[in-house]
Amino acid sequence: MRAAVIVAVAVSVLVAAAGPALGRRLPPAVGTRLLVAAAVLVAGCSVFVLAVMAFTWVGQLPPIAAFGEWSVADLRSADPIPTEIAAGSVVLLLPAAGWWLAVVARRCRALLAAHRSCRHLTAAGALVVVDDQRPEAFTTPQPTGRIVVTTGLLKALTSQERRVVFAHETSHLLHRHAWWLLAADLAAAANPLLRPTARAAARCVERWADEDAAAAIGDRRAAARALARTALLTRNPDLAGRLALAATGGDVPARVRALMAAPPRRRPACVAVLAALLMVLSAATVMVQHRGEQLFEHAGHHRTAAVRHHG
Amino acid sequence: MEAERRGRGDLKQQVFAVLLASDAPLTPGQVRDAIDADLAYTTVMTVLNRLSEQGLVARRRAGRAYAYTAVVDQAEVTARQMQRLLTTGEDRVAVLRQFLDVLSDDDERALIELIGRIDEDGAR
Repeated sequence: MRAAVIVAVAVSVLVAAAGPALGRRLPPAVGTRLLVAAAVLVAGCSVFVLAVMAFTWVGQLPPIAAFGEWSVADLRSADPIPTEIAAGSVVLLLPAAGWWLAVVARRCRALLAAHRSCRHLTAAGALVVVDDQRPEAFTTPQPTGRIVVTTGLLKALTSQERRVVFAHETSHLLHRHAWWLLAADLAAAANPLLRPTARAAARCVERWADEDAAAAIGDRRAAARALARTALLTRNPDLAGRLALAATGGDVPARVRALMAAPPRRRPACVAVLAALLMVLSAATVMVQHRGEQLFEHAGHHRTAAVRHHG
Repeated sequence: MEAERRGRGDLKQQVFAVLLASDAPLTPGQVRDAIDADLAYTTVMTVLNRLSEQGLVARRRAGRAYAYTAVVDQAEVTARQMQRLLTTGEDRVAVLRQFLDVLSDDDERALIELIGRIDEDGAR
């Protein structure tokens, strides 16, 4: 059991550490799906392994042992998990579970608020235009998915730039990006090691929508230009035409550069490595479950034998 | 064909956006030219009629054809609702997919430089 726990923890840490790099290398649509799936699996497995370890200690408490009908002494002598680690798991799990539930509740409330705000809006397609001078565009989650754009942004964009913005936002709705990211966020809330992976998934989602927008207008460089211009507009309308010297940048410049470069290549090797790691993780988790069960069965069996012997 | 590749919902958005971006009422021909000159006139008319039924565009006679303007009905109510969505809390923003992140000064400089590079390549 100890070996399985170590493998599960090691693979979890490895996947969490590799997440951001994978997000940069994989094509965005594949990257999003894989990273979110990996995050959910790692979160689930790590919580489960922690719970099994915690229970080897909780099971030694006399009332629990009496309820489960196993022998405390046998369990203690056969338990491969050191007491400090098992007790530490309990200390870690309880506040983590509370925190996770709080995040889930907050997100649900936010989703409901978005749903309520959009339910009654009349939309052209999914488009809702807000009469506001500040340039702004966003989508709300399905099932009441809407593309919300301000008049300020629409008036500042050219016809082609509008198409890029709409195609980008339509991609978010079409592929239900909000739900993928919700899953990644909840995984990261369960296991904080996954936070960089969740952020990488969010970057992948934006790149995915950018690629779809570029495909919709059939011109990557024009899409890149539209993205850059819209970014500048939403920051400061006066700056759109001005030129200045180069510097390195964060997220939006990286998205623009990605569109200026060649289309993303498939990375079967990356996918295969990640899939293999996730398979090892699943196997180790199943092993932990199996060994944990054996442990309690063994302690239970001894107790019944002892009772029978005394009787 | 271009017009077929583009979904109906997409076209509806395009037409509505063109009308919104224009200060003067537009005829169906002008709307078509603003989106794609190869688009069928009847397609644009169909979309305009549907938007008109929804109350999203208003039309008035301009010579022989109608001219259309976009109606942003209840804009203020919507604006306030949307503003509320955007401004209250990290979770609200997390469930919305915003088109763009906040830009730093460096990002801004990088973007201006990138636009310059694209334009240079295009001019060559």
